[in-house]
Amino acid sequence: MKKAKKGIALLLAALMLVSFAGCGNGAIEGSLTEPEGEVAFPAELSIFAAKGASLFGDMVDYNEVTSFKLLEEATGTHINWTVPPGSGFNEKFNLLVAGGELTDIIINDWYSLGAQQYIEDGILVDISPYVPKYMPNLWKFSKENPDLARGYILDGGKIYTPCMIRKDQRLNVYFGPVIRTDWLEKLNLEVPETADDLYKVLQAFKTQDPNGNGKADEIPISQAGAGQIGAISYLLHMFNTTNGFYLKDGKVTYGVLEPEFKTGLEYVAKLYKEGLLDVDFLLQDRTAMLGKITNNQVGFSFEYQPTQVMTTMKDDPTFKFEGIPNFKDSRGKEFSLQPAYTNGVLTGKAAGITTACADPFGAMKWLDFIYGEEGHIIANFGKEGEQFNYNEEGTPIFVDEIQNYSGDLTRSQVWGKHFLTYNTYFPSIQDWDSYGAYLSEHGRAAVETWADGVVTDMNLPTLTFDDVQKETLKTKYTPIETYVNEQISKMVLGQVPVSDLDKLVTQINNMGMADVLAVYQASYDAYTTKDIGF
Amino acid sequence: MKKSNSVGVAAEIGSNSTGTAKKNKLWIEIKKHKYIYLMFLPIAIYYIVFMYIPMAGNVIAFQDYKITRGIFASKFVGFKHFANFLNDVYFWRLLRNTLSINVLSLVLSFPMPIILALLLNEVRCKPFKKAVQTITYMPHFISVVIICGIIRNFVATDGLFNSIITSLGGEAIPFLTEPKYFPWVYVISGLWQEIGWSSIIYLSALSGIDQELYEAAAIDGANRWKQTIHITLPGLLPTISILLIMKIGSLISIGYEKILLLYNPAIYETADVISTYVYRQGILDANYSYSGAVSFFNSIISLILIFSSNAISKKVSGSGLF
Repeated sequence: MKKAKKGIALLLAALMLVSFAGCGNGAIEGSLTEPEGEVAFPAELSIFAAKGASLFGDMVDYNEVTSFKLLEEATGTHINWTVPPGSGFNEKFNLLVAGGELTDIIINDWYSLGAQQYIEDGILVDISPYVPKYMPNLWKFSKENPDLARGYILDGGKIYTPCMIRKDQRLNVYFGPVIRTDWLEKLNLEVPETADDLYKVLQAFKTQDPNGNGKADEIPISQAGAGQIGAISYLLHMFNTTNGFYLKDGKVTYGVLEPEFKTGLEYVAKLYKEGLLDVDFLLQDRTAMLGKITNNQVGFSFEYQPTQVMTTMKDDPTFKFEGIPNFKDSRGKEFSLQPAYTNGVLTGKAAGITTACADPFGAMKWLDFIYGEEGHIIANFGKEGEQFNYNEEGTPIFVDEIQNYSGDLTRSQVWGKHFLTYNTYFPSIQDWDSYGAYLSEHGRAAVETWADGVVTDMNLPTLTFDDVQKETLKTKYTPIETYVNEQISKMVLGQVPVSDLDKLVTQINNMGMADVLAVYQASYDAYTTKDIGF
Repeated sequence: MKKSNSVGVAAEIGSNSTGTAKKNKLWIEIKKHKYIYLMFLPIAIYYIVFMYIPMAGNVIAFQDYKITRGIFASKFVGFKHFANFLNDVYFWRLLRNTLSINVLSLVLSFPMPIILALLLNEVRCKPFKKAVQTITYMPHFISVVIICGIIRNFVATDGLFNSIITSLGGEAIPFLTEPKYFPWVYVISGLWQEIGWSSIIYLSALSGIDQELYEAAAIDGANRWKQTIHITLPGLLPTISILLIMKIGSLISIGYEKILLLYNPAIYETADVISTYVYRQGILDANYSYSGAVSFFNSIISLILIFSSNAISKKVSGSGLF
C-alpha cells in the first residue's frame, strides 16, 4: 500500500515536470540582421488577430474582406489568419506567448501590455531601428504629424508596434449631444447652448407633452449606464469637469477634487430629483434606451451619431434626432472632455512582429504598404471601378451598390465586409471620405457639428504605466474609485446629500489620492517630454 | 537469548508475510473487479490531470507572475498579494457581502428544490408533472447574460413588477438602485433559475426509495403526510446532507458574472463581492498572481468550511460526505 502511494506520488511529480516543461520559452533575443539588396514582399505571413465585427455570418477570417483580398493581389502575400473570438482572445493570446507556436505578426494592445517587456522576453522583435528605412510610408507620416506620432512613438524614438491612426478629427467624434429637434420646433425652443439652456429645454419637454400623446411619459434625458457611472460624466463636461482624471492648467487632476465638480454634480442631482433624468439611467443598457428613443419618449441624450436611430425611424419623417454642438463652458467655448475626441491613435490593436517571423523585413514592408498611397486606397475604398470611382476632384466615391446599398445586410456589415479601415482596426490610416460615406445624412451632420470648433484642451492622452505604477494604482486607486463611484451615484440618486463631497475628498486623501495623482502626473510628464526622435 | 532472537525473526517473517498478503489482497481486489476499476480510470486521470496537477500552479499566488516568464522564472514575493487583499479597506465589506448573499441563498434556495421534488413526487397526473418539470428546468439553460437582461427589464421602474405595484396603488420600488433590495433580487432570481434543475437529484433519490415501505406504512394506517415525514424524508436525508455540505463549502465563493451584470456603483454597499472587486482591480492589467492569491484564500476557507460542516453532519445525523 505504501509503495503504491509512493508510486502515485512519483507519477504525479513526473507529470508535473512534463507539464511545466512546456511553459518555458527558449527564444533568444537579439537585433535583426539587415538584408542585403532589395526586400521583397513575403509569400506568406501568419497573423493572430481578434475576430472583430467585420466577420459576421459564415465569414471565417479576414481574407474574405475585400481590402485584404486586394492587398493579396497587390503584394502577392498570402495571409494565414488565426482569429480567436473576442471573448476568448486574451486566453488564446496568453497560451500563444506562454509557449505556443507564435505567428509572424500578433495584433494586440502592445502599448498597455508593454511592448518593451515582450521584446526583452523574446516574443517580439525590436523593429524601431529599421522603421525609417524599411517602413518609409509610416515614417514619413509620423514626421509630418508629430502630435499624432507622440501617441505611438515611445521614448527614444522607438516604434515597436504600428497601429491604426485616425488623422481627421471627425473620425474620433462619433459621440456627442443629440436632441429631438422636431420637439424643439414644436415647442418653439432654441437649440440649447449652455447647461442653463438645456435645463429649461428639458423642463419644457417634461411638461408640454411634445410627443403629443396626452400623457406625461416623456423622458427629457435618457442615458444607458448599464451599471457604469459614465453617464454622469457626460453631463459634468458642461462644467469643465468629469468623474476621472484630466488636465487643469497643465497639471493632472481628479474630478471630485475640483470645485467645479460640486456645481456639476448639484446640477445632475437636480435633474434627477425633478424627474428630468431617466430614473433607470444607471441600469439600462443601450438596447433598452434605444427602445425608449424610437418609442418617441426621449428628448435628449449623449449618444453615438444617430445613424442607427434614424435608420430605424426612417418611416417616420417627422422624427428628428439630431446632433447639436457641444455645450459652451464657462469660457464660452464649445467644450468636451470625451476621451475619444482626442484619441486619434488606436493603440489597442497594434501589430507586433514576433521572433518567429522568418522574414521580419518582408513583414515590415507588407505592413508599411497599407500606410502607403496604394495600400491606403485599398484599405479605405477597395478597387477603382469595382467599389469606387474617382470624381472630378479626385475624391473616391463609392459605387451605387455600396453607397446606396439596399439588401439584407446592415450598412455596418457592408462596410465591414469590404473595407479594412472599418471595424477591423487593423494598422492603417483611416480616411474620413470612407467612414463619412458610411454614415447616414444625419450621422454625418451630427459628427460635423460636434467636430466643428470643439475645444478639448483638458483631455489627457493615452497614458502608459510601468509595473510599480500599476501596483500603486491597483492597491490605492481601486478602493478610491469604488468609494467615489458609489458615493457620487448615491448623491445623484438623492440617497446622500451633494454637500458630503467635502467629506468624500477628505476620505480619498486619507486613502492615498496624492500618490495616485503623482503616478498620473509622472506618466503624463513622461508622455510630454519623451524624445520621439524628431 | 536464543528464544527471544527466534521470536524476533518470527515476528519479522510475520510482518513480512502480512505485508505481501496486503499487497496481494489489493492486487487480487483489482484483478477481481478489473472492469469496475477500468471504468474508474478515466475519472481518476481526469482528476489528476485537470484538478491535482494544476494545484501546483497555486505557486503563482506567491510570485509576481509574468506570463512570458512562466512559473519558474517569475519573481517570488511571498505573501505580498495576500497582505494586499487582507489589508484592503474594502476587505471586510466584500467578505460580508459574499457571505450574506450566499447564506441568504442557502437558507432560501436550498430547501425549495426539496419541497418541489416532494410535491412533484405526489403528483399523479403525468402530463402535468412533466409540464411543470420542463417549465422549471428551462431557465437553467438560458445564458446568464440573457437572464440578467430579463431581470433588469422586470425590475426596472416601468418594468413588470413595478407596473403591478403601481397599478395596485403602491409606490415604485427602486430594486436595483437601493442597496437593501439587491441580495433579494439576486437570490430570488437565482431560485427561479435553478429550482427545477436542482430538484432533479432529489427526484432521482426519491425513485430509489423502496415502494414496499410505503405499502407497509399504508397498511399500518399512515396517511400521505405521515408517509412523507417518516419514509420519504429519511430516505432523502443522505442526499440532502451531502448536498448541504457541498453548498456550505462554497459559501465563500460566488460567481461574478451575474452580479457584474446586475449591479451599479450605487449599490456596491451590498452588491460588491470579492470576485467583482478583484475583477475591477484586474482591469488595469492581468493580475494573475493577485487573483491567484484571492482564490487560494477562498479555497482554504472553503476547505475549513467543508471539514467542519462534515464533522457536524456526522455527529448529528451520522452521515457525511467522507
